[in-house]
Amino acid sequence: MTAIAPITQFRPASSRYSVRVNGLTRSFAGRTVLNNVSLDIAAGEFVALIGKSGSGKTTLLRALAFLDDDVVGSGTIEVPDNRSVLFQDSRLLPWETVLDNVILGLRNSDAATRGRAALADVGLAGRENAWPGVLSGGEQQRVALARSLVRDPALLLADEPFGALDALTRIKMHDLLFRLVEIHHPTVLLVTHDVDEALLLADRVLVMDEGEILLDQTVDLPHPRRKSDTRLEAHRAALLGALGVIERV
Amino acid sequence: MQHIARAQVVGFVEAERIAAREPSRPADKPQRPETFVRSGRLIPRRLPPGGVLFGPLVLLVVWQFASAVGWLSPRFLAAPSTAVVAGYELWADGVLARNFLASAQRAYLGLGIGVAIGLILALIAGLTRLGDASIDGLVQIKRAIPTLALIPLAILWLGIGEVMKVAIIATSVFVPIYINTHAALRSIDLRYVELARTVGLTRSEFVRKVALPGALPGFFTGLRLAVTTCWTALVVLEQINTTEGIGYLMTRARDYGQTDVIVVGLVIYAVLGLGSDVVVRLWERSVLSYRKVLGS
Repeated sequence: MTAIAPITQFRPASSRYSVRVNGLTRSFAGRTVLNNVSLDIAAGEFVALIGKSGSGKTTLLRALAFLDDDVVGSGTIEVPDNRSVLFQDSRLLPWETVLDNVILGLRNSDAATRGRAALADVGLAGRENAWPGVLSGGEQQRVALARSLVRDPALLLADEPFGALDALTRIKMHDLLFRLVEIHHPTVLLVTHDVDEALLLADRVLVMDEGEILLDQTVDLPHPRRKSDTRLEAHRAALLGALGVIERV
Repeated sequence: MQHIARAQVVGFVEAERIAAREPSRPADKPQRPETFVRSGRLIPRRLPPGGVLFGPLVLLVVWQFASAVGWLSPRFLAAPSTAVVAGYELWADGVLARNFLASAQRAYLGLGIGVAIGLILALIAGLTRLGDASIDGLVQIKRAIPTLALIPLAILWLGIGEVMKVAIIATSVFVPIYINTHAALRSIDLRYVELARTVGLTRSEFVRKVALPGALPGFFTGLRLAVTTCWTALVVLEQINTTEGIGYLMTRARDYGQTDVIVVGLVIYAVLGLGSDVVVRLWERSVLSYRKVLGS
């Protein structure tokens, strides 16, 4: 039985959880994309969500971002009001300068100062007045990262933010994202299809398949991690197993 | 072999010159440099600045030649040189300036009013549901009726004076402005709408920061069409009860069989149309300067 999403949205006061999802179901055109998903994420936790295309991981993220109105579903979601979304494309407004893109929607009187600081944090000091069109793909995504973090979000929702970048840029972005998360300390939900990206960054990795969370794996290893760390092997094998991939060396 | 290496460095034209100057040995034949370079040119190279003037200049030369040797009778079409003299004389008399100002005033007054109406209607229809329901259908019907077909009614309502002429120009101008601005507003990238929601833009912030800048390219496309349209409408309107204007000059010239004055009028219309287009494009380029980096 499906109904138009009766969703409540409120900040769980003095809770140790930043995100609480209970019995979330979503369907599109008769196909169940999320099937009774429940998920708690502790405040400050870095969670990666992996899964094949169509597994429902992006649908879950969009539900948490409240970007999925007009869909059929049920369940409850509690997320902080103060949340940012990092999209796969940088989604910069081409007609606004880099700085104006970063501070888009900010109404504080010190918005420009904070925007400059956020740009400096992502290594783009001096590019404030450039048009987004002159930046490289990696630089555009760094501006998008600055735009997300300048709001000091309690929750950062990232939907395959490095998926469109080349391998070398992606490695640098992993470092940058991790450094910035340590400074701002938001709760992070990172959707990715890259098992290694998940293992390098996250405290906890969820594997989704057919709209359900198949595996919830805590990765209790110190940072910075290296891809070649042998302690990651067992985790990698478990995740790939859940994804239905058998690794042959 | 040496040929080929040099050809790559100096380019196609130079390579042909080298090939012509130094007859190639038979052994080189199968890999002649121009063949090698030419294979990469599937589309013509860009014209140098002013390259588009080549066609008009050829026409001018042929026209002048045909008039000079007597193939073109001045009763049908005056020679370009005769038209230049006629134009100078009209200018020296002050006749040209007076009529030109009268035409320009009509055209640009109509253009200004039409652009304002088109823009306002497009914003209302593009940004509100009620506006879309009430305005869009009417404009689409209006678009199907040629504005010049409204002249008989306009004369009955507004008379045959200036008001009617400006009103008809404005009516024909607002349509391309409306259509293009409205289409651009309706095709705003949904990804930007999502972004606006996630950063918490209010409705008025969304209109100012996302909807209007996103619709600006559409508005300029409409404006370029409108600038041409206003002059087209003017030509027809100036055949009706006018004592001033380029169209009046031409109508009178027709009665007297002065083909040189008719040519002067045509040239003025062409120059005004092209000139207005250039002005709009320069304006567009400065307003949409962020695009330079995207296209190049």
